[in-house]
Parts: sequence; structure tokens; C-alpha cells
Amino acid sequence: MTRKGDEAFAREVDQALRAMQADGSLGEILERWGLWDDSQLAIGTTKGAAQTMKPEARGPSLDGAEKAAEVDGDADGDAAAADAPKSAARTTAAAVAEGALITVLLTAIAMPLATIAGLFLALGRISPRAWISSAAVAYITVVRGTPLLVQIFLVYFSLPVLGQWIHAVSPAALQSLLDLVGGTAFLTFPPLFVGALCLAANYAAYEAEVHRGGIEAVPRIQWDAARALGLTRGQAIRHVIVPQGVRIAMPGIVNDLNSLIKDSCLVSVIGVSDLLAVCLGIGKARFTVPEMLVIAATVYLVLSIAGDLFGNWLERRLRARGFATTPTHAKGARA
Amino acid sequence: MSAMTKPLLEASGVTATRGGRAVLRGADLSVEAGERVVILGANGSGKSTLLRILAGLDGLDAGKVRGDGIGLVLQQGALFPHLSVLDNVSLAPRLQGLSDPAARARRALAAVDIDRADAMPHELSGGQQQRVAIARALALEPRVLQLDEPTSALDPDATRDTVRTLAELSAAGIASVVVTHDLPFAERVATRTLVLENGALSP
Repeated sequence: MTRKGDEAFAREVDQALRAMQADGSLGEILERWGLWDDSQLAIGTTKGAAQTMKPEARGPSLDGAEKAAEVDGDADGDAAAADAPKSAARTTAAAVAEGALITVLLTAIAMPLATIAGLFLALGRISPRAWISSAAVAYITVVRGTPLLVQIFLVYFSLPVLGQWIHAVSPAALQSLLDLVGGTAFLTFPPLFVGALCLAANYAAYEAEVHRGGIEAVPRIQWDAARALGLTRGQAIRHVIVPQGVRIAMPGIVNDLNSLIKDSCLVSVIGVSDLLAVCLGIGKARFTVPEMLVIAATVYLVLSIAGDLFGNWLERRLRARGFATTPTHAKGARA
Repeated sequence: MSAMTKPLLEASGVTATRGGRAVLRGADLSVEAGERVVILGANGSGKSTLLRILAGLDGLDAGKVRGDGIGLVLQQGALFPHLSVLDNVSLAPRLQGLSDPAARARRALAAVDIDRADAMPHELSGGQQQRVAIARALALEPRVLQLDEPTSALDPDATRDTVRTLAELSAAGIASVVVTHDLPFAERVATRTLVLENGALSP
């Protein structure tokens, strides 16, 4: 199931996850996101620094979905081991949890980036400078007008070509670019990195429109009040308009967060071992694709509900800090 | 006041077109220290347009406006809903690099009898919001304060408070120009009343 070039990344992720297993940070992350269960102990994940396990004491290592399936296969073959099916189930759960973690990671990287980039695109769109607003409109139009799947493929397969071009023109330029962004030969990046970036770049175009809606919904009189106080346009935008616009845009952004959690599965096509890829891998290896897809869908549902809860909490927090779209006049209150 | 002092605000021949209609046709206005000038006029007579031009928010087609230190209090205060009372008042002094913006803000709030510096605007009554908006303009130490329909959303008590506040400010030498169509309020607040009709101001 793993694609060419993916093995190296799978190894890197494994190494990282193993390190996180050993130092307890993976356990903490899983726990924070409510993904912790005792099956983690079986594969050697620790919770916090207090509880350290020696690397030798760890359970079967995981090399993504395929290894999980392999281990499971071995266990099935070993009928003498009475607790084999149980440990296989635990291993599967751990693999699914790893996939879910990657999905959470993709979303957690892409959504904040998209929200911030979208804000700047929206501000670019309303800029009085024509070239800035045209560039913003062009970006938003192209990105919203082409399929995310095509964008993911295009970026993933174009980066090395771009790297070759840069190399052909100036090897030194490529080297300094690589030093800057940390890719390997000819601008090749780990799929997780490229995937998160594609999702962020795509969602930025949508968030730009949500932000624009928010900014345009700020009453005109707020601009006037800022100007009457002598604020410059930039100061008015930064201190008066954007803080209000973002609050108005929040429900839309939270809605898109929910979308992104599920759209993130598209990056599995470039070899990211996310929730869908892991489940599909296990399913194919064991001929349990429908079951594994139901499991994947269920975990997506749980993540999406968690995302909604997080978003609602964020909205409430912003509201609690005293936001009302129009100045309200509390009835009955007296000066 | 005294014939020797230069007017704080002087506008002559102000002409402005809005939506293809000549809203102002040569309006003249001169405001001296401590005066409370009320401008009356029907809806659509160009009162708000005149205030916006005097405050420098809008441009004018012809005429001249001279005066500095002009504060503007917009309809219903137009407070920034996401900022506390103190932050509303201290924002502009802070951004303009004035010394000790928080102390300025507190002084301005004290001048309008607001002691709820940490409250959010929506927690205040309409009258309190109006006075915070006045404090927000006062924090920049204007010579003339302009108010656009200050009583449009106020009950009688809050209206009375606004009258008192403006009287106290004029005692401190700060002139006010008030646009309103609230006649009883106009009678109580004005030291001079002008009517805006056919694009011009007349006594």
C-alpha cells in the first residue's frame, strides 16, 4: 500500500512516534485528545515522564498499517498464544489511533494556517491597491475553482520538478532554498508536510471568503468612529475592524474546521498514513475493508464532534469577552 | 465669547453633493469657546453630512473649514464592542503615542461620571454608552465636541445627564456642536440654535 518514497517517511514517522512513545509525550497527546486507552501500554506508550519503559520492554513495533496487519497475521498463525487475538485487536487499535493522530495533526497544522492566511487574503481583497486586490481575488478564484485532490497531486509531483528547474538555473539557489525550507534533494518533502500545506493553502481561500463576510458585516459606523479618533486605515483595520470581523466569522470558520477534518483524508493519496490510509491498509491486508471503513468513518465522526465542541467553546469564549455585533442598549439599566 | 478670541471652528460656504443632490449649499458656521451650538433640521436636511465634513470624515465640494481639535461623537456612541470601556477611551491616545493613555482615559471617564472602566460596552445603559463615547472623544483633548443625534436612543433621565455633561464641558471651555431633531433637548442644551434648511444654516 505504501508508495515509492513513502518508506523513508514511514520510518521517520515511526522513529518520531517511538521517541514520543518512550518519553511519554505521545501518551500525553493521546490522553489530551481522549484517544488514550490501555492498549497503548501494550505497545509501549508511556504516560508522562514518571512512567518510563525501557525500549526493549516495548510491545511489537508498528510500521504503519501494513506492519499492524503483519503482526496480526503472525498472531493468527500462532494458535498457541491464547491472548493473541486480544493483542492483535490492541495492535489494530493502536494503528488506528496513530492514523487518527496524523489526521488530528494535519487538521491542527492546516486550520490555524488557513485561518491566518485567509485573513490576510481577505484584507488583500479589500485593499485599495488594485494589484493587491486582483492578486488576492485571483488566488481565491483559482483555489476555490479547482479540485483539492488535483491540487494535492499537482503540488506533490510538481515540487521536485520545480526543484530541478531551480537546480538547472542555479544549484546554489536550490541549496539555499533547501537550507531555508528544509527539504531534501530537488525540493522533496515528507508527504505529511506537503499534505498539510496543501490543505492549508486550499482552505485559506475559503477562510478568506468567510473573513471577508465578517469584515463586511462590521457596521460602517465603526470605520467612521475609528477615523473620527484619528486612527489610520491600518490602525482601524488592526484594532477595530478585524477583531470584530473575526468574531462574526467564527461560526463559519468552525464549520470549515469540521469540513477540514474530513477533507484531510484526501492527502492519503500522496502517502500520508492518516486515519483513512491506516484503516484501508489494515482492511486490505485482512480482507476486512468494509469493517475498517466503518471504523474509520466512526473515528472521523468522533473527531468531527470533538472539533465542533472545540469550535463552540472557542465561540463562547469570544462572546464571553463582551462581543455584540451592534451596540446594545441594556433596558432598565440606569446611569 | 470675547471678540478678541479667534473662533475654535470656522466654516464658510460649505457645499456638498450627496447622491447627485446638493445637500449643503454654502453653509456658514463659527463656534467660539464654551458655546453650545445646536443645529436643528429635518431628516435628510444634511445635518450629519455637515458634521462629518466639519470633523474631516468627508470631503466637501466647495467652501472652507478651519479648526483643529474637533472631536466627533457618532450616533448611539458607536463604541468598539470588543474593547472594555477603558480600552475604548485609551485606544486613540495610545495609537497616537500620547503620554500615559490610561491616565488620560481615566480622567476623561471621570469627567463624564463613568466609574465602570472595566465593563464592556454592552453591559452599560444607552446613556452610559453615550457618555463613554464622549469620554473617548475627550481623551484626545478636543476644543470642540460634535455630537450627532446624541439623544436618539436615550430615555429622559439619560438625556438629562447628557445635557449636564455638555454644560460641564462648556464651563471647562470645550465648545459643542450638537445635531438633533429632539426639540426639548435642543432647548435645554443650546446657548445658540441654528436651523439647517435648503443647505444653509440660519439662526
